[in-house]
Formats: sequence, C-alpha cells, structure tokens
Amino acid sequence: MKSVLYIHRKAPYSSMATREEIDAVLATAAFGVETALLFLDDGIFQILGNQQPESAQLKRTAPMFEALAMYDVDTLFVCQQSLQLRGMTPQDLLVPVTVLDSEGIQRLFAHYDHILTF
Amino acid sequence: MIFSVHVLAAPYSQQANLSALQFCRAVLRQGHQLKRVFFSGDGVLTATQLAIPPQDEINLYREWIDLGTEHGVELVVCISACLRRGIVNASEAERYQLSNHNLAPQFIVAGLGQLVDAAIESDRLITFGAH
Repeated sequence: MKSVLYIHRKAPYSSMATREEIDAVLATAAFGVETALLFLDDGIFQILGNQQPESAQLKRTAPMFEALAMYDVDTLFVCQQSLQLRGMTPQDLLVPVTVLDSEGIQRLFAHYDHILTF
Repeated sequence: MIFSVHVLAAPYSQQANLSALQFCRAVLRQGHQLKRVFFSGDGVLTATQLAIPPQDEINLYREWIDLGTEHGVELVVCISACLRRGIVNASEAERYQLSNHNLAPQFIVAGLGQLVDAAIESDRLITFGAH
C-alpha cells in the first residue's frame, strides 16, 4: 500500500489551498493510505492556535485539523527553520507536531511514495 | 511506468496548466502509461465549454480534450472544486436550479477518491500549479 505526504505551504484564508488540501488528506486517510503532513513556510499559520476568522467572514479551518486524530492521522511535521523565521514555537500550534530540520525533511521525502502540495 | 497528473492551475492564469499538458504529452511519447489527469482547485476551469481564447494562441481547452480523446486519458474534475467555481454539468444545474450548464462532456466529475486512487495505482503522481 502506498504512502502519501501532504505539504502545506500556504497561509490559511489567502486561498482555498488549506481547505482543499485537508479534504484530500482526509480522503486519503479514509482509504487506509498511510498519510502524513508537513507544514512548511507560511503553511505553519494553518495550524496556529487562537484563530478567529469569523470576524472577517471567513470559515474556521482549525476544526478540520483537530479532526485529523479521528482519522488516525497523527504524523504531523513542521519545518524548524520555518517556525524560527516566524518567531513561533510548537506550543503556539493547535495540534501536536514533530519539528524537523532540513536533514529530517530530506529523510521524510525519501520515505513517502508520493508527495503532494496544493 | 504509470503516471498520474494533478492539475491545480487554471488555463492561461498560470503557466502550470500548459506545463502539465506538455508533461502529459511527454509521458505518452516516452511510452509510459498516463492513468489519469485529476483537476482540482482552479484547475477545474479547464473543463468549461464556454471559453474562447484568442485565435492566435494555443487553445488549451481544446488541447486537453484532444489529449483525452486521442490517447484515451481519463480527465477527471473534482466535484467540490467545480461547484465552488461554477463548472457544472446538466444534472447538477438541474439539482441546484441553475440557468445553464457548462461542463465539457469529455471530463468526468468525481470526488477526491479518484485522486487517492491515482496515488494508489500510479508509480508517480506529479502536481502542477501549487503556488
């Protein structure tokens, strides 16, 4: 059975990428495919805690990430450099993550059969 | 090798849509199998019947249809992306009581399961148009 790594690189709300990618993540997990997520660059903002988008007439995407555990998707990675550049720590995030440096990310890429980005 | 391609870019708005088409042709020229092209996000705009590109430019809408019909390549558009962007077939237009429909008949409307199936059945799944 194949495995898929989904890379999230875009800030939430700026486009539909967050919503459409998380739908694909959930569909993939529902098929029993080994599924993992890597948050890179501005994608880290997708899982930033305390989002209040309703005031800007935007739909909250946080619940979709919180639902990942129900689909047995618990392999979430974050790029260490991306976090540092944005002055964030794992404690600022909505969900538990494993922080990876660039070598760790290279190993991650080598492990998964398919790498998808939206 | 079995390839599938994931297209996120709309025709003309991003070069990635043309790049994806050219990649698909190269896959077939090299003798590989092209299992499916899955269009999602803005990529579903490829499936409109109502676009009229300038005469002196490549007609991407026609080129994708030709790829599908001449080489038997499955062209699939993601239903949720289609509804959000106004790409509808006759039955959806009726269901939602819309004045018209515009989906080119050479495209199949389906859910994300077809993208997952492409990942499972292909050796390589290449994305064009993530930005």
